[in-house]
Amino acid sequence: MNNVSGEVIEALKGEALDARRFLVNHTAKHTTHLGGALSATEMLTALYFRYMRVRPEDPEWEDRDLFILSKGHVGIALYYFLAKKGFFPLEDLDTYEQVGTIFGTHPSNKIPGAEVTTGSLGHGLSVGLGMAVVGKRDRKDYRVYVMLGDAELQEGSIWEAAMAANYHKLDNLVAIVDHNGRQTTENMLAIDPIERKFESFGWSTAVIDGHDMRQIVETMEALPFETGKPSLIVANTIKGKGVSFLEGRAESHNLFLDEERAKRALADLEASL
Amino acid sequence: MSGYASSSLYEVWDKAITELAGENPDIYTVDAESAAMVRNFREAYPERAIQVGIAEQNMVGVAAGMAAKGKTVFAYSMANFLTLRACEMVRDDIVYNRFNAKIVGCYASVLGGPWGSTHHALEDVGVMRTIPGMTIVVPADTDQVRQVARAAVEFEGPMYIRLESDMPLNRGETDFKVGRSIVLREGGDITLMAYGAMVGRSLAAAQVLSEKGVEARVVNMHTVKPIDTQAILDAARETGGIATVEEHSIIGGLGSAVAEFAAEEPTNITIKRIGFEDTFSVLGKYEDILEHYGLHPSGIAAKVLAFHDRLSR
Repeated sequence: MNNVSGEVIEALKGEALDARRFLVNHTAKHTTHLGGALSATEMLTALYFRYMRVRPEDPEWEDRDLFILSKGHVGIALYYFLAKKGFFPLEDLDTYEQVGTIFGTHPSNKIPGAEVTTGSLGHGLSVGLGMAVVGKRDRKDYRVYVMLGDAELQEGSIWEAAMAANYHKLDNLVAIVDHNGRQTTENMLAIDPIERKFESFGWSTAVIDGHDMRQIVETMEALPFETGKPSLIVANTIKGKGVSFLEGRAESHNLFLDEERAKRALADLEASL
Repeated sequence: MSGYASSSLYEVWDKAITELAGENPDIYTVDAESAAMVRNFREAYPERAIQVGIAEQNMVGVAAGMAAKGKTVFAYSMANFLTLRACEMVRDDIVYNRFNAKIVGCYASVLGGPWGSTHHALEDVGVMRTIPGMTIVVPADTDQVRQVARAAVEFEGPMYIRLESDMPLNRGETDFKVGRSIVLREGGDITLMAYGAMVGRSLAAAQVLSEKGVEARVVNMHTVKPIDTQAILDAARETGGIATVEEHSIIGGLGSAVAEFAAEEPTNITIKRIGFEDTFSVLGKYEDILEHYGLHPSGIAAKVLAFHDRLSR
């Protein structure tokens, strides 16, 4: 378990910090779902800097791992990591949300590296399930990761997918719930305990600190948790993580940072070093 | 005439897809508790028949995911559940992404009979028609089912196939092409445009009309989207009026599609939409329901006659 070096962990943490800087600067230019992007940063960093087997020069490579951002409203976070991975230049994101761009708030499958269009919550797990089924039938090695929001779990279609995933023994399917505990309203319908719900649907689960890079890596190394069962990672996170005045605040769901707040946010990120 | 859908049409579809799957290893099916629809397919290719249980929204998402990974997917459910309950998944997951998944709406119209409105589909074509990039095909009988199955496999992209009941045309396999309507009978007084089982009923109605001195052109408009606009222009120029006939609401389906196009053309043609007139259907045996609403051959003929009379005045 401890065979992942400290250097690897530190490097990943460095990448996560870079991602947060980008996201904060982006939110000084556009209204952004920043809170949910910051909470997912470590998980996305681990995925795109260590686990996702993809070929940016060949986005259709048939043996590639697949990632679906079912909580599509933090598309900008995905775009950042896709750009860093080499699917397209980071500068392409200058057209974000402009007429004619492919980079909308929510990912579309027109974007190299983004497999499907998301945005309407509750679709991603079903689509990922379909991809995982084909993976099994084609006797391929690839893994399908689907990142869900915690409030998104209120969508019933997710539970349809959860039930079917177990039935089809899809141990190449990994659901990651970004459990940042907040939606736009302060009170959230009682979605907890998430892992017990999925376990009752036949999934194998792990609950981790979604900001602890070592925990994340050690958990990812253990996938699939059980042969013949889909895996669930509940990442306990903080909405707006890294920016003191946003952490845990529902306001961070979708906001614009004026110059003063953007400066403070960046200062917070530097202070975390 | 039996009170429910002839199982032959569904059996023929299932067998056609199964046969095509023999030559094409990428053909897969997904169903939401519609095992009867894929009985032959599942028997022949159990690995490729994916069951998801009574979960239509998940089913459509799964179909999209499978198509994303290169499979030619056919997803089955009753037409109403498929197109209404799972409408957003159809639109967002399959059609917007332009994935190669075809959705097959079974027992459409009022084939749910005594099961009542919750199991009737009178809005499906209309709803699917408003989704940009969706192709809609309705085979008229078992011969055409085979052709549509083949065409659907060859067609690259999303498609909605509506399966109704079997009204045999007994014309063998006419030259079928997606988007190209088929004139089955010539006549200069009025044009009957129909899809599905109404094609056969329209031909029967044309017989009745002929006996009354009204000669009807009958056109099989199997592809409701993209509609054969040339057929509409031809009918407008060469006949006295167009009556559309469908087992569907007159809002949103073929009638609306024809009227939308014709209204923007300087043809001066009048359209009569025959179908369910913005009403939930009563429950009962399928054939009895159609008769109740005057949608059986003699009822259709009567409506067309009245339309023709209005035009002559």
